[in-house]
Amino acid sequence: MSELDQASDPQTRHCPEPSRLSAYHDGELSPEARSAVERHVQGCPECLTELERLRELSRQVATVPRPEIPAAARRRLHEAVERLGSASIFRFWRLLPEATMQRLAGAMAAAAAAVLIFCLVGLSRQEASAASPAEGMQLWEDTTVGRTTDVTAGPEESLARWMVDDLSGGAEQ
Amino acid sequence: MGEGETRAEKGFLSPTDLELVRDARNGDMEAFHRLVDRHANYLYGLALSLLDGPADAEDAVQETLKGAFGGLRGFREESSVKTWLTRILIRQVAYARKRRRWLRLFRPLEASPEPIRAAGTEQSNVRLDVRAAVLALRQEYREVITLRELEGFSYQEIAQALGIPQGTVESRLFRARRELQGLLAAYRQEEPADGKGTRSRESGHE
Repeated sequence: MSELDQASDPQTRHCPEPSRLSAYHDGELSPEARSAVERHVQGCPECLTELERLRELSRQVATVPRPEIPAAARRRLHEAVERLGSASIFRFWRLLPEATMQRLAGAMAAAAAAVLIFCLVGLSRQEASAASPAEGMQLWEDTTVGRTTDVTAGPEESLARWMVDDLSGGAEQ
Repeated sequence: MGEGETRAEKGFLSPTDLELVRDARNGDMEAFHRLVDRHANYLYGLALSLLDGPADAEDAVQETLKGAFGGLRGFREESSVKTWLTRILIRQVAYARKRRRWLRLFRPLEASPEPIRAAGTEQSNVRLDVRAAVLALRQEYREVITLRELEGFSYQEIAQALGIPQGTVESRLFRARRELQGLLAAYRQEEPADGKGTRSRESGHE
């Protein structure tokens, strides 16, 4: 406030910030700031003119007619509110005590999380198996027949390696 | 301030907004309807000042009431009910304007509504000028001018309704007034020579 007092001192001819003048016009200044502006304005024709312009603007804006809401629009608003009220979930929800509501909300969140986890696990399993019966058969063949050929190929390969090693005498080394 | 005291039926005087909100919160739909009756006119007028047409204004008010109904429990009673409703309406207006901008992208040839300037008495022309000038303000200026000059909100109430600091309200309102004065001066200069309302351009301060 002291800054404003200083700034609006008529001796120094410093005008208050224009936004402060606007706030003065709106009656939004503290009593001290208000009297400081009043002291300044008495000796400052520019600020007086500015204040008069602000008053004139307010007068003009006040002449803008205020529209009435049409009766049909008002009726539609009430109908919309009626629909809100008759939505049973809202009514049920609003009638519950706060603590019950919180507990219920917690339980619902936990249930939702459980369903989500269940779905995610199911999905990942489905992806690991197969999407269609034909793909399922292919997967079965790959994992069973394919693996047995690998198993049978294993000993043959080791037998061949043993024969080569044995003949070349590498086994003793 | 006990819960029992808030029941609207207790007193002979008409219940306050806050009492109606508390009753509506406890499931009294009639109380909510009374709130609608009390504030429908105000909300509609405000929406009409911030949006372009009556259909948009009605939609915004309807969405505001839905928002208020859904937020009854969340209302902390730190501001007046009117300010709370205003805050919801301002948000709905912002959504409506965003929607409109998107729609315009798909319908670029549709002309934006021009401010109406009908022939009439000098007084009615002045009113149209002022209304057109307010509508021509950028949105953030239009909000503060409407809330202050038309609705008589205090800076604190404007700050609560718009969710901005009080200092910002002061500076924004000052800039809005400057712009409005400039727009009005421009409108007056456009008026035909016989219009007595033509004013000479006032010199700036300092």
